[in-house]
Amino acid sequence: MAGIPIFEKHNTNKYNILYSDTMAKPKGSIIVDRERCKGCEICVPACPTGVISLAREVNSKGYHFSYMANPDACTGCTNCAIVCPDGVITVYRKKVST
Amino acid sequence: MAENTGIKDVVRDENLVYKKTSVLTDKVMHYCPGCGHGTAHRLIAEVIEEMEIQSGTIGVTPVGCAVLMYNYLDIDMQEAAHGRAPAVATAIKRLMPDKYVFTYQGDGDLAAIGTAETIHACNRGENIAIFFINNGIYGMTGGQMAPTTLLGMKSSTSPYGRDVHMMGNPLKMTELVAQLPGTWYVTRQAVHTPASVRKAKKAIRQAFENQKLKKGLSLVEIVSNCNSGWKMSPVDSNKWMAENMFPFYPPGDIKLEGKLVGKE
Ligand SMILES: Cc1ncc(C[n+]2csc(CCOP(=O)(O)OP(=O)(O)O)c2C)c(N)n1
Ligand code: SF4
Ligand code: SF4
Repeated sequence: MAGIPIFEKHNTNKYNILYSDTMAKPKGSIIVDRERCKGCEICVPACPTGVISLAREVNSKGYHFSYMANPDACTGCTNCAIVCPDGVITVYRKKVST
Repeated sequence: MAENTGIKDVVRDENLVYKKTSVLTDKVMHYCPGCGHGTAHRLIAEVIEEMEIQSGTIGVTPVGCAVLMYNYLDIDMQEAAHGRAPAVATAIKRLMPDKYVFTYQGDGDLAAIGTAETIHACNRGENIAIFFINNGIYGMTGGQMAPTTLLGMKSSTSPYGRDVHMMGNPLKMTELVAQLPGTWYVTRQAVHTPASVRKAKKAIRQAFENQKLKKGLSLVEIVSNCNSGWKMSPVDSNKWMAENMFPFYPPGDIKLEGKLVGKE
């Protein structure tokens, strides 16, 4: 890939940039309030890194609550939390330098 | 080393970047899973928290699915008869002009039974905010056709789709009130994606900030889903909304600082 700089303006995949080996990358984590989650699934397509799935188990109301199926990919961007109609997601983020 | 940073190192108070605002109570909202009402409530609560106006805000709730909104926001709220929220809010604001006063209304409430109250409050230029949740249907009572129902859209009272000859045209209340001299800020938003949520929150904030100016009414329409009434999954209903509602109800600002956008 010689000659193609990773920061080229039209590079639309910003995650290439975030995950390039030399950068400090944010490590995120979410906590889902399982009992309040209604399993609506709105957070799943909102996550840019495919972290969230619905659990096979259900909560006491019978809803398949959401959880981090792929926790290593979470950047703590808060997208999932801000689209959640029931406000059940809490987000943490820490900068980690490699 | 990144590889060694586990969830326990991340989930710490000092790394907290988002949690539910305390202006929302801990009651579980009665809305159907994925309903936009919950997101709209949360954005209003977040703005109230950020502006530090929790004790200075009075909300007026509608009849419709959001009738129980007063259980979910930890602020003073008054329930109005169906469609009458702008009239009740007018009285509250005139008696207590220093309070931030808003109504929260569905399309059945605002654009059907409450059309007169809406238009006259807008035309009088009351210094209130109206948050208008347009899901194109009467959600609470079982998905009947509303004035806002799209042409061809199925509802329990238009099972073959809305037919213009029989049922007339859908009503763009937001564009209509933007024509009135009493409105200062009129915008249409949505809450189905992270980007739209961020924009809608800015609009809600603007509507609250405008009350300090005393220059007229602010109306923020939020195009939303009624996944139960539309008989779709929440994710599908948001897709359907973007594909079918947005061409007729396009998101964007309609009137800024008393001037129609794109005019003059
Ligand atoms: C005076 C009066 N007429 C009719 C009703 C029945 N009713 C209750 S809610 C509603 C419509 C609500 O629809 P909308 O405002 O769109 O809110 P949504 O439930 O979709 O959020 C109607 C007609 C009523 N409660 N009171
Ligand atoms: S915080 Fe962002 S990256 Fe992490 S799960 Fe939520 S949407 Fe995905
Ligand atoms: S009926 Fe429709 S508007 Fe009412 S809570 Fe359910 S999805 Fe929301």
